[in-house]
Amino acid sequence: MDPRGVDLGTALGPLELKNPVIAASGTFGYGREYSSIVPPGSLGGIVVKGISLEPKAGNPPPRIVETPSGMLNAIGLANIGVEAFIEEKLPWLRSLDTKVFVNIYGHRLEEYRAVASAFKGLEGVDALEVNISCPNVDKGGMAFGTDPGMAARVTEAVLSSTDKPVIVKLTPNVTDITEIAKAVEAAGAHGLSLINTIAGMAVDVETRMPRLANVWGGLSGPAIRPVAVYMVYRVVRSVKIPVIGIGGILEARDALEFLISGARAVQVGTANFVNPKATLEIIQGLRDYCARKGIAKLSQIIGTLET
Amino acid sequence: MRVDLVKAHIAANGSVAKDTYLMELRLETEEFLAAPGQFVMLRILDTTDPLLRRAFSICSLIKPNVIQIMYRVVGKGTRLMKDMKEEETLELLGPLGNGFQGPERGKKAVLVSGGIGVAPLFFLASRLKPHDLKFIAGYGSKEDVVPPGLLGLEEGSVLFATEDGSCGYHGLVTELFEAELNKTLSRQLQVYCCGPWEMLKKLAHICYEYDLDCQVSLESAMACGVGACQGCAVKASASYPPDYFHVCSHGPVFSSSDIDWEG
Repeated sequence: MDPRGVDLGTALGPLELKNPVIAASGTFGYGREYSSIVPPGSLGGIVVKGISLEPKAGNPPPRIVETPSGMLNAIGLANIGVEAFIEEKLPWLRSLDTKVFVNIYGHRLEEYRAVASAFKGLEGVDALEVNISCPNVDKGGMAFGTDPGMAARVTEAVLSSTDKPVIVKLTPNVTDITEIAKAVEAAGAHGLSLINTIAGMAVDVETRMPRLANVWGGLSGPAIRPVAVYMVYRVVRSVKIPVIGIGGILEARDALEFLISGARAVQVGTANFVNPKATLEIIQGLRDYCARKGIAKLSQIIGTLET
Repeated sequence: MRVDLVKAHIAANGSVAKDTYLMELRLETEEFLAAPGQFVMLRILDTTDPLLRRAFSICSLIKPNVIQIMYRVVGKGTRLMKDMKEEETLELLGPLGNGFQGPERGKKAVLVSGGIGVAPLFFLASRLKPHDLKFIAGYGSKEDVVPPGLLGLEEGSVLFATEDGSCGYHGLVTELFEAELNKTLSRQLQVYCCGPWEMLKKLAHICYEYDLDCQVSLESAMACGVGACQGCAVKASASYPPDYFHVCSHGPVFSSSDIDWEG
Protein backbone atom coordinates (compact mmCIF):
# COMPACT_ATOMS: atom_id res chain seq x y z
CA MET A 1 0.00 0.00 0.00
CA ASP A 2 1.25 3.46 -0.93
CA PRO A 3 1.60 5.70 2.16
CA ARG A 4 0.53 8.66 0.02
CA GLY A 5 -2.86 7.03 -0.48
CA VAL A 6 -3.65 6.86 3.25
CA ASP A 7 -6.50 9.13 4.35
CA LEU A 8 -5.37 10.85 7.56
CA GLY A 9 -8.56 12.91 7.91
CA THR A 10 -10.22 13.10 11.30
CA ALA A 11 -13.22 14.94 12.74
CA LEU A 12 -13.57 16.86 15.98
CA GLY A 13 -17.31 17.29 16.14
CA PRO A 14 -18.07 19.95 13.51
CA LEU A 15 -14.38 20.41 12.58
CA GLU A 16 -12.88 18.37 9.76
CA LEU A 17 -9.08 18.13 9.99
CA LYS A 18 -6.90 16.99 7.07
CA ASN A 19 -4.77 15.07 9.55
CA PRO A 20 -4.76 14.61 13.32
CA VAL A 21 -1.55 16.52 14.08
CA ILE A 22 -2.01 19.91 15.73
CA ALA A 23 0.71 22.22 17.06
CA ALA A 24 0.06 22.84 20.77
CA SER A 25 -0.50 26.22 22.38
CA GLY A 26 2.57 28.04 23.61
CA THR A 27 4.98 25.93 21.60
CA PHE A 28 4.36 27.28 18.12
CA GLY A 29 4.17 31.00 18.85
CA TYR A 30 1.56 32.64 16.65
CA GLY A 31 2.30 30.15 13.85
CA ARG A 32 4.80 32.27 12.00
CA GLU A 33 7.93 31.51 14.03
CA TYR A 34 8.35 28.06 12.46
CA SER A 35 6.73 28.74 9.09
CA SER A 36 10.04 28.62 7.20
CA ILE A 37 10.54 25.05 8.46
CA VAL A 38 6.96 23.81 8.83
CA PRO A 39 4.50 24.94 6.12
CA PRO A 40 1.41 25.54 8.30
CA GLY A 41 -0.82 24.13 5.57
CA SER A 42 0.67 20.69 6.13
CA LEU A 43 -0.69 20.52 9.69
CA GLY A 44 -4.11 19.41 10.83
CA GLY A 45 -4.26 22.56 12.93
CA ILE A 46 -2.41 25.15 14.94
CA VAL A 47 -3.30 26.26 18.46
CA VAL A 48 -1.95 29.75 18.94
CA LYS A 49 -0.42 30.94 22.19
CA GLY A 50 -2.91 31.59 24.99
CA ILE A 51 -4.63 34.97 24.61
CA SER A 52 -6.02 37.07 27.43
CA LEU A 53 -8.11 40.23 27.46
CA GLU A 54 -5.16 42.47 28.32
CA PRO A 55 -1.53 42.01 27.21
CA LYS A 56 0.53 40.10 29.75
CA ALA A 57 4.31 40.44 30.20
CA GLY A 58 4.74 37.07 31.90
CA ASN A 59 6.89 35.89 34.78
CA PRO A 60 10.41 37.03 35.70
CA PRO A 61 13.27 34.78 34.54
CA PRO A 62 14.37 32.03 34.85
CA ARG A 63 11.21 30.77 33.20
CA ILE A 64 12.32 27.35 31.99
CA VAL A 65 14.50 24.54 33.25
CA GLU A 66 15.24 21.18 31.74
CA THR A 67 14.53 18.03 33.77
CA PRO A 68 15.10 14.37 32.85
CA SER A 69 13.32 13.84 29.50
CA GLY A 70 11.22 16.90 30.15
CA MET A 71 11.11 20.59 30.90
CA LEU A 72 9.48 22.80 33.48
CA ASN A 73 8.10 26.13 32.36
CA ALA A 74 6.63 29.10 34.13
CA ILE A 75 6.28 31.52 31.23
CA GLY A 76 3.35 33.17 32.96
CA LEU A 77 1.02 33.12 29.95
CA ALA A 78 2.85 36.05 28.34
CA ASN A 79 0.87 37.31 25.34
CA ILE A 80 0.07 40.43 23.35
CA GLY A 81 -3.61 40.62 24.37
CA VAL A 82 -6.72 39.97 22.31
CA GLU A 83 -6.86 43.35 20.55
CA ALA A 84 -3.27 43.23 19.24
CA PHE A 85 -3.70 39.57 18.37
CA ILE A 86 -6.70 40.27 16.15
CA GLU A 87 -5.02 43.26 14.53
CA GLU A 88 -1.46 41.96 14.09
CA LYS A 89 -1.54 38.17 14.02
CA LEU A 90 -4.94 37.09 12.76
CA PRO A 91 -4.67 38.42 9.15
CA TRP A 92 -1.73 36.09 8.47
CA LEU A 93 -3.34 33.15 10.29
CA ARG A 94 -6.48 33.70 8.20
CA SER A 95 -4.49 33.00 5.03
CA LEU A 96 -3.45 29.53 6.18
CA ASP A 97 -4.87 26.30 4.84
CA THR A 98 -5.16 24.71 8.26
CA LYS A 99 -7.53 24.85 11.23
CA VAL A 100 -6.70 27.69 13.58
CA PHE A 101 -7.56 27.16 17.25
CA VAL A 102 -7.24 30.19 19.48
CA ASN A 103 -6.33 29.30 23.04
CA ILE A 104 -7.96 31.70 25.51
CA TYR A 105 -7.70 32.19 29.24
CA GLY A 106 -8.80 34.49 32.02
CA HIS A 107 -8.75 34.92 35.75
CA ARG A 108 -12.45 35.74 36.08
CA LEU A 109 -15.53 34.43 34.30
CA GLU A 110 -16.08 37.90 32.76
CA GLU A 111 -12.59 37.81 31.28
CA TYR A 112 -13.28 34.48 29.60
CA ARG A 113 -16.55 35.91 28.26
CA ALA A 114 -14.86 39.06 26.96
CA VAL A 115 -12.02 37.25 25.19
CA ALA A 116 -14.39 34.70 23.66
CA SER A 117 -16.79 37.34 22.38
CA ALA A 118 -13.93 39.28 20.73
CA PHE A 119 -13.69 36.42 18.21
CA LYS A 120 -17.43 36.27 17.49
CA GLY A 121 -18.00 36.20 13.74
CA LEU A 122 -14.30 36.64 12.99
CA GLU A 123 -13.08 34.73 9.99
CA GLY A 124 -9.86 32.76 10.36
CA VAL A 125 -10.64 31.38 13.79
CA ASP A 126 -12.00 27.84 13.50
CA ALA A 127 -12.40 27.04 17.18
CA LEU A 128 -11.57 28.22 20.67
CA GLU A 129 -9.50 26.15 23.06
CA VAL A 130 -10.17 27.19 26.64
CA ASN A 131 -7.34 26.98 29.17
CA ILE A 132 -9.03 26.34 32.51
CA SER A 133 -5.80 25.72 34.43
CA CYS A 134 -5.59 29.38 35.52
CA PRO A 135 -6.19 30.54 39.08
CA ASN A 136 -9.65 32.01 39.70
CA VAL A 137 -9.04 35.33 41.46
CA ASP A 138 -12.60 35.39 42.78
CA LYS A 139 -12.13 32.01 44.47
CA GLY A 140 -8.84 32.55 46.28
CA GLY A 141 -6.69 31.56 43.31
CA MET A 142 -7.96 28.00 43.04
CA ALA A 143 -7.60 26.84 39.43
CA PHE A 144 -10.91 26.79 37.51
CA GLY A 145 -10.09 23.38 36.12
CA THR A 146 -9.74 21.63 39.47
CA ASP A 147 -13.41 21.84 40.42
CA PRO A 148 -16.18 20.28 38.27
CA GLY A 149 -18.65 23.08 39.06
CA MET A 150 -16.21 25.85 38.24
CA ALA A 151 -15.00 24.08 35.08
CA ALA A 152 -18.62 23.82 33.94
CA ARG A 153 -19.27 27.52 34.61
CA VAL A 154 -16.24 28.60 32.54
CA THR A 155 -17.40 26.33 29.73
CA GLU A 156 -20.92 27.84 29.82
CA ALA A 157 -19.50 31.37 29.98
CA VAL A 158 -17.42 30.82 26.84
CA LEU A 159 -20.17 28.96 24.98
CA SER A 160 -22.65 31.77 25.61
CA SER A 161 -20.15 34.31 24.20
CA THR A 162 -19.09 32.64 20.99
CA ASP A 163 -20.31 31.14 17.74
CA LYS A 164 -17.22 28.91 17.45
CA PRO A 165 -16.80 25.30 18.50
CA VAL A 166 -15.34 25.19 22.02
CA ILE A 167 -12.63 22.75 23.09
CA VAL A 168 -11.81 22.75 26.80
CA LYS A 169 -8.22 21.96 27.79
CA LEU A 170 -8.06 19.96 31.00
CA THR A 171 -5.45 20.12 33.73
CA PRO A 172 -4.06 16.82 35.03
CA ASN A 173 -3.54 18.33 38.50
CA VAL A 174 -6.78 16.90 39.86
CA THR A 175 -7.90 13.86 41.82
CA ASP A 176 -10.19 12.48 39.09
CA ILE A 177 -9.97 14.01 35.63
CA THR A 178 -13.07 12.12 34.45
CA GLU A 179 -15.24 14.12 36.88
CA ILE A 180 -14.05 17.38 35.31
CA ALA A 181 -14.43 15.94 31.80
CA LYS A 182 -18.04 14.91 32.45
CA ALA A 183 -18.91 18.31 33.94
CA VAL A 184 -17.45 20.13 30.95
CA GLU A 185 -19.28 17.83 28.53
CA ALA A 186 -22.57 18.39 30.35
CA ALA A 187 -21.98 22.15 30.09
CA GLY A 188 -21.98 21.78 26.31
CA ALA A 189 -18.32 21.72 25.21
CA HIS A 190 -17.71 20.39 21.70
CA GLY A 191 -14.49 18.64 22.65
CA LEU A 192 -11.73 18.18 25.21
CA SER A 193 -7.97 18.44 24.97
CA LEU A 194 -5.70 16.86 27.56
CA ILE A 195 -3.39 16.98 29.34
CA ASN A 196 -2.05 20.41 30.17
CA THR A 197 1.31 20.40 32.00
CA ILE A 198 1.77 18.61 35.32
CA ALA A 199 2.73 20.89 38.24
CA GLY A 200 6.38 20.41 39.16
CA MET A 201 9.42 21.97 40.76
CA ALA A 202 13.22 21.72 40.71
CA VAL A 203 15.75 23.03 43.24
CA ASP A 204 19.33 24.20 42.74
CA VAL A 205 21.04 22.53 45.68
CA GLU A 206 24.12 24.80 45.45
CA THR A 207 22.13 28.00 45.96
CA ARG A 208 19.13 26.29 47.65
CA MET A 209 16.92 28.31 45.36
CA PRO A 210 14.11 27.04 43.15
CA ARG A 211 15.30 26.76 39.55
CA LEU A 212 12.27 28.78 38.38
CA ALA A 213 11.73 32.34 39.58
CA ASN A 214 8.05 31.40 39.96
CA VAL A 215 9.18 28.53 42.27
CA TRP A 216 7.03 25.94 40.46
CA GLY A 217 6.02 25.37 36.87
CA GLY A 218 4.43 22.98 34.41
CA LEU A 219 6.20 19.79 33.39
CA SER A 220 6.03 18.75 29.74
CA GLY A 221 7.90 16.48 27.37
CA PRO A 222 8.25 12.70 27.05
CA ALA A 223 8.54 12.36 30.84
CA ILE A 224 4.77 12.95 31.16
CA ARG A 225 3.58 10.80 28.25
CA PRO A 226 2.47 7.70 30.21
CA VAL A 227 0.41 9.91 32.55
CA ALA A 228 -1.18 11.62 29.57
CA VAL A 229 -1.99 8.38 27.72
CA TYR A 230 -3.63 7.00 30.87
CA MET A 231 -5.74 10.12 31.39
CA VAL A 232 -6.85 10.14 27.75
CA TYR A 233 -7.71 6.44 28.01
CA ARG A 234 -9.90 7.14 31.05
CA VAL A 235 -11.55 10.30 29.73
CA VAL A 236 -12.41 8.73 26.36
CA ARG A 237 -14.34 6.08 28.28
CA SER A 238 -16.25 8.66 30.34
CA VAL A 239 -17.50 11.11 27.68
CA LYS A 240 -18.97 11.07 24.17
CA ILE A 241 -17.40 14.29 22.85
CA PRO A 242 -14.11 14.04 20.91
CA VAL A 243 -10.82 14.09 22.80
CA ILE A 244 -7.48 15.53 21.65
CA GLY A 245 -4.48 13.79 23.23
CA ILE A 246 -1.52 15.87 24.42
CA GLY A 247 1.59 14.97 26.38
CA GLY A 248 5.17 14.24 25.37
CA ILE A 249 4.58 13.23 21.77
CA LEU A 250 7.91 13.27 19.93
CA GLU A 251 7.24 10.87 17.07
CA ALA A 252 4.51 8.96 15.23
CA ARG A 253 4.58 5.98 17.60
CA ASP A 254 3.84 8.32 20.51
CA ALA A 255 0.91 9.89 18.64
CA LEU A 256 -0.41 6.41 17.87
CA GLU A 257 -0.52 5.53 21.57
CA PHE A 258 -3.06 8.33 22.03
CA LEU A 259 -5.01 7.59 18.85
CA ILE A 260 -5.29 3.88 19.60
CA SER A 261 -6.40 4.79 23.14
CA GLY A 262 -9.24 6.80 21.62
CA ALA A 263 -8.03 10.35 20.95
CA ARG A 264 -9.33 11.70 17.63
CA ALA A 265 -6.38 14.02 17.19
CA VAL A 266 -3.18 14.91 18.99
CA GLN A 267 -1.27 18.04 19.87
CA VAL A 268 2.50 18.24 19.63
CA GLY A 269 4.13 20.71 22.01
CA THR A 270 7.59 20.44 23.55
CA ALA A 271 8.72 18.33 20.57
CA ASN A 272 8.62 21.47 18.41
CA PHE A 273 11.48 22.89 20.48
CA VAL A 274 13.48 19.67 20.30
CA ASN A 275 12.87 19.10 16.60
CA PRO A 276 11.09 21.85 14.66
CA LYS A 277 10.18 19.28 12.00
CA ALA A 278 8.55 16.94 14.56
CA THR A 279 4.98 17.59 13.35
CA LEU A 280 5.91 16.88 9.72
CA GLU A 281 7.76 13.70 10.66
CA ILE A 282 4.81 12.52 12.77
CA ILE A 283 2.39 13.04 9.86
CA GLN A 284 4.68 11.03 7.56
CA GLY A 285 5.13 8.38 10.25
CA LEU A 286 1.36 7.97 10.61
CA ARG A 287 1.06 7.44 6.85
CA ASP A 288 3.82 4.86 6.89
CA TYR A 289 2.27 3.02 9.85
CA CYS A 290 -1.15 2.83 8.19
CA ALA A 291 0.39 1.68 4.90
CA ARG A 292 2.39 -1.00 6.69
CA LYS A 293 -0.73 -2.21 8.49
CA GLY A 294 -2.86 -2.04 5.35
CA ILE A 295 -5.18 0.58 6.87
CA ALA A 296 -6.71 2.93 4.28
CA LYS A 297 -8.11 5.46 6.77
CA LEU A 298 -6.40 6.51 9.96
CA SER A 299 -9.82 6.92 11.58
CA GLN A 300 -10.09 3.12 11.50
CA ILE A 301 -7.48 2.78 14.23
CA ILE A 302 -8.90 5.39 16.61
CA GLY A 303 -10.01 3.75 19.84
CA THR A 304 -8.98 0.24 18.77
CA LEU A 305 -7.09 -0.52 21.96
CA GLU A 306 -7.15 -4.26 22.68
CA THR A 307 -7.73 -4.88 26.35
CA MET B 1 16.60 35.70 7.33
CA ARG B 2 16.94 32.04 6.43
CA VAL B 3 17.16 29.53 9.26
CA ASP B 4 18.57 26.11 8.40
CA LEU B 5 17.78 22.85 10.16
CA VAL B 6 20.69 20.70 9.05
CA LYS B 7 22.98 17.85 9.97
CA ALA B 8 26.28 19.06 11.44
CA HIS B 9 29.18 16.63 11.11
CA ILE B 10 31.98 17.00 13.62
CA ALA B 11 35.24 17.78 11.80
CA ALA B 12 37.27 18.43 14.96
CA ASN B 13 36.59 18.56 18.69
CA GLY B 14 39.26 19.24 21.27
CA SER B 15 40.24 20.99 24.45
CA VAL B 16 41.58 24.55 24.18
CA ALA B 17 41.65 25.50 27.87
CA LYS B 18 40.45 24.09 31.19
CA ASP B 19 36.94 22.60 30.67
CA THR B 20 36.80 24.51 27.39
CA TYR B 21 36.44 22.91 23.98
CA LEU B 22 36.44 24.01 20.37
CA MET B 23 34.26 22.05 17.97
CA GLU B 24 34.40 22.37 14.20
CA LEU B 25 31.21 21.46 12.40
CA ARG B 26 30.71 20.79 8.69
CA LEU B 27 27.13 21.67 7.85
CA GLU B 28 24.99 19.99 5.22
CA THR B 29 24.24 23.25 3.50
CA GLU B 30 26.04 25.14 0.76
CA GLU B 31 26.37 28.42 2.52
CA PHE B 32 25.69 29.25 6.15
CA LEU B 33 24.91 32.96 6.27
CA ALA B 34 25.98 33.75 9.82
CA ALA B 35 27.08 37.09 11.28
CA PRO B 36 29.13 37.72 14.44
CA GLY B 37 26.89 37.58 17.52
CA GLN B 38 24.47 35.07 16.04
CA PHE B 39 24.09 31.63 17.56
CA VAL B 40 23.09 28.08 16.74
CA MET B 41 21.12 25.46 18.64
CA LEU B 42 22.56 21.97 18.64
CA ARG B 43 20.71 18.78 19.34
CA ILE B 44 22.32 15.56 20.44
CA LEU B 45 20.44 12.98 18.40
CA ASP B 46 18.74 9.81 19.61
CA THR B 47 18.26 10.71 23.26
CA THR B 48 15.55 12.37 25.32
CA ASP B 49 17.99 13.25 28.11
CA PRO B 50 19.24 15.85 27.40
CA LEU B 51 16.00 16.73 25.67
CA LEU B 52 16.33 20.30 24.49
CA ARG B 53 18.83 21.79 22.09
CA ARG B 54 21.73 23.75 23.51
CA ALA B 55 22.51 27.30 22.36
CA PHE B 56 26.08 28.20 21.32
CA SER B 57 27.54 31.39 19.92
CA ILE B 58 29.26 31.01 16.61
CA CYS B 59 32.98 31.38 17.25
CA SER B 60 34.12 31.43 13.65
CA LEU B 61 33.01 30.71 10.12
CA ILE B 62 36.01 29.12 8.48
CA LYS B 63 34.42 28.08 5.20
CA PRO B 64 30.98 28.90 3.77
CA ASN B 65 29.61 25.74 5.44
CA VAL B 66 32.09 25.13 8.25
CA ILE B 67 31.71 26.80 11.63
CA GLN B 68 33.42 26.56 14.99
CA ILE B 69 31.72 26.78 18.35
CA MET B 70 33.47 27.05 21.69
CA TYR B 71 31.88 25.60 24.81
CA ARG B 72 32.51 25.06 28.46
CA VAL B 73 31.58 21.75 30.01
CA VAL B 74 28.88 22.70 32.52
CA GLY B 75 26.25 19.96 32.40
CA LYS B 76 25.01 16.76 30.86
CA GLY B 77 24.75 18.06 27.28
CA THR B 78 28.24 19.53 27.12
CA ARG B 79 29.70 16.47 28.91
CA LEU B 80 28.34 14.30 26.11
CA MET B 81 29.59 16.74 23.49
CA LYS B 82 33.17 16.79 24.72
CA ASP B 83 33.46 13.04 24.20
CA MET B 84 32.06 13.12 20.68
CA LYS B 85 34.43 12.07 17.93
CA GLU B 86 35.11 13.22 14.40
CA GLU B 87 32.37 12.28 11.93
CA GLU B 88 29.75 11.95 14.65
CA THR B 89 26.70 14.01 13.85
CA LEU B 90 24.66 16.64 15.63
CA GLU B 91 21.62 18.48 14.30
CA LEU B 92 21.90 22.23 14.00
CA LEU B 93 19.28 24.98 13.89
CA GLY B 94 20.56 28.38 12.83
CA PRO B 95 21.85 30.92 12.34
CA LEU B 96 19.62 32.48 15.01
CA GLY B 97 19.19 35.88 16.62
CA ASN B 98 20.58 39.29 15.83
CA GLY B 99 24.32 39.91 15.71
CA PHE B 100 26.55 42.85 16.60
CA GLN B 101 26.04 46.16 14.78
CA GLY B 102 28.75 48.48 13.46
CA PRO B 103 31.12 49.88 14.48
CA GLU B 104 30.30 53.20 12.83
CA ARG B 105 32.94 54.63 10.56
CA GLY B 106 35.73 56.29 12.55
CA LYS B 107 34.95 54.44 15.75
CA LYS B 108 37.38 51.98 17.23
CA ALA B 109 35.96 48.68 18.51
CA VAL B 110 36.72 47.59 22.06
CA LEU B 111 35.91 43.93 22.71
CA VAL B 112 35.60 42.82 26.33
CA SER B 113 34.99 39.20 27.29
CA GLY B 114 34.60 37.24 30.49
CA GLY B 115 35.34 33.50 30.40
CA ILE B 116 33.61 31.59 27.62
CA GLY B 117 32.01 34.89 26.58
CA VAL B 118 35.10 35.23 24.42
CA ALA B 119 33.51 32.96 21.77
CA PRO B 120 31.31 35.43 19.84
CA LEU B 121 33.95 38.15 20.17
CA PHE B 122 36.51 35.98 18.36
CA PHE B 123 34.07 35.88 15.43
CA LEU B 124 33.58 39.66 15.59
CA ALA B 125 37.35 40.28 15.82
CA SER B 126 37.90 38.19 12.69
CA ARG B 127 35.71 40.61 10.75
CA LEU B 128 37.46 43.79 11.96
CA LYS B 129 40.79 45.27 10.89
CA PRO B 130 43.43 44.62 13.60
CA HIS B 131 44.31 48.30 14.05
CA ASP B 132 40.61 49.17 14.47
CA LEU B 133 40.13 47.05 17.56
CA LYS B 134 41.24 46.45 21.09
CA PHE B 135 40.45 43.03 22.59
CA ILE B 136 40.43 42.57 26.37
CA ALA B 137 39.74 39.06 27.68
CA GLY B 138 39.12 38.21 31.30
CA TYR B 139 39.47 34.75 32.85
CA GLY B 140 39.64 33.23 36.31
CA SER B 141 43.13 31.89 35.93
CA LYS B 142 45.89 31.16 33.41
CA GLU B 143 44.62 27.65 32.65
CA ASP B 144 41.27 29.12 31.50
CA VAL B 145 42.90 31.32 28.87
CA VAL B 146 42.02 30.45 25.28
CA PRO B 147 45.09 31.20 23.07
CA PRO B 148 43.98 33.76 20.44
CA GLY B 149 46.22 32.08 17.87
CA LEU B 150 43.81 29.13 17.78
CA LEU B 151 41.20 31.43 16.29
CA GLY B 152 43.57 33.06 13.82
CA LEU B 153 44.27 36.20 15.87
CA GLU B 154 47.82 37.33 16.41
CA GLU B 155 49.31 36.29 19.73
CA GLY B 156 49.80 39.50 21.65
CA SER B 157 46.76 41.13 20.08
CA VAL B 158 44.63 40.35 23.15
CA LEU B 159 45.10 41.89 26.61
CA PHE B 160 44.41 39.47 29.45
CA ALA B 161 43.10 39.96 32.96
CA THR B 162 42.96 37.06 35.41
CA GLU B 163 41.31 37.11 38.80
CA ASP B 164 44.28 35.31 40.42
CA GLY B 165 46.89 37.32 38.52
CA SER B 166 48.45 34.25 36.87
CA CYS B 167 48.27 35.84 33.43
CA GLY B 168 48.23 39.53 32.47
CA TYR B 169 46.49 42.11 34.63
CA HIS B 170 45.74 40.90 38.19
CA GLY B 171 42.08 41.62 38.75
CA LEU B 172 38.74 41.88 37.03
CA VAL B 173 38.44 42.52 33.31
CA THR B 174 36.15 45.45 34.09
CA GLU B 175 39.01 47.13 36.00
CA LEU B 176 41.43 46.58 33.12
CA PHE B 177 38.83 47.98 30.73
CA GLU B 178 38.45 51.13 32.80
CA ALA B 179 42.24 51.50 33.13
CA GLU B 180 42.56 51.22 29.34
CA LEU B 181 39.80 53.81 28.87
CA ASN B 182 41.67 56.24 31.08
CA LYS B 183 44.82 55.73 28.97
CA THR B 184 42.96 56.66 25.79
CA LEU B 185 41.90 60.19 25.08
CA SER B 186 39.62 59.26 22.21
CA ARG B 187 36.00 58.61 23.05
CA GLN B 188 35.27 57.45 19.51
CA LEU B 189 34.76 53.93 20.79
CA GLN B 190 32.21 51.19 20.29
CA VAL B 191 32.22 48.63 23.09
CA TYR B 192 31.20 44.99 22.51
CA CYS B 193 31.03 42.56 25.38
CA CYS B 194 29.99 39.08 26.38
CA GLY B 195 30.38 37.31 29.70
CA PRO B 196 28.70 36.73 33.07
CA TRP B 197 25.75 38.96 34.04
CA GLU B 198 27.60 40.80 36.85
CA MET B 199 30.47 41.65 34.53
CA LEU B 200 28.13 42.95 31.83
CA LYS B 201 26.22 44.97 34.40
CA LYS B 202 29.49 46.60 35.53
CA LEU B 203 30.54 47.32 31.95
CA ALA B 204 27.13 48.76 31.14
CA HIS B 205 27.54 51.10 34.09
CA ILE B 206 31.07 52.16 33.10
CA CYS B 207 29.96 52.79 29.50
CA TYR B 208 27.06 54.88 30.77
CA GLU B 209 29.47 56.97 32.88
CA TYR B 210 31.85 57.47 29.96
CA ASP B 211 28.97 57.99 27.51
CA LEU B 212 30.05 55.09 25.30
CA ASP B 213 27.82 52.99 23.10
CA CYS B 214 27.90 49.43 24.42
CA GLN B 215 26.52 46.25 22.90
CA VAL B 216 26.17 43.18 25.10
CA SER B 217 25.62 39.59 24.04
CA LEU B 218 23.45 37.82 26.62
CA GLU B 219 23.15 34.20 27.59
CA SER B 220 19.99 32.50 28.77
CA ALA B 221 18.46 29.08 29.11
CA MET B 222 16.14 28.67 26.13
CA ALA B 223 14.00 25.95 24.62
CA CYS B 224 13.19 26.95 21.04
CA GLY B 225 15.67 29.63 19.91
CA VAL B 226 13.15 31.25 17.56
CA GLY B 227 10.84 33.31 19.79
CA ALA B 228 8.07 30.72 20.18
CA CYS B 229 8.48 29.54 23.77
CA GLN B 230 9.25 32.90 25.43
CA GLY B 231 11.41 31.09 27.96
CA CYS B 232 14.54 33.24 27.60
CA ALA B 233 13.08 36.44 29.00
CA VAL B 234 15.26 39.32 30.12
CA LYS B 235 13.83 42.44 31.72
CA ALA B 236 13.85 45.55 29.57
CA SER B 237 14.93 48.87 31.04
CA ALA B 238 12.05 51.07 32.15
CA SER B 239 12.10 53.22 29.04
CA TYR B 240 10.99 50.37 26.80
CA PRO B 241 7.30 49.38 26.82
CA PRO B 242 7.57 45.56 26.52
CA ASP B 243 8.57 44.43 29.98
CA TYR B 244 10.63 41.51 28.75
CA PHE B 245 12.80 40.89 25.73
CA HIS B 246 13.50 37.40 24.47
CA VAL B 247 17.22 36.74 24.29
CA CYS B 248 16.80 34.46 21.26
CA SER B 249 14.73 36.64 18.95
CA HIS B 250 15.21 40.23 20.19
CA GLY B 251 18.89 39.54 20.99
CA PRO B 252 21.18 37.89 21.90
CA VAL B 253 22.94 41.21 21.22
CA PHE B 254 21.35 44.21 22.92
CA SER B 255 22.32 47.79 23.51
CA SER B 256 23.36 47.79 27.19
CA SER B 257 20.95 50.67 27.87
CA ASP B 258 17.96 48.53 26.79
CA ILE B 259 18.44 46.07 29.63
CA ASP B 260 17.28 46.41 33.23
CA TRP B 261 20.47 45.25 34.97
CA GLU B 262 18.72 45.02 38.32
CA GLY B 263 15.96 42.83 36.82
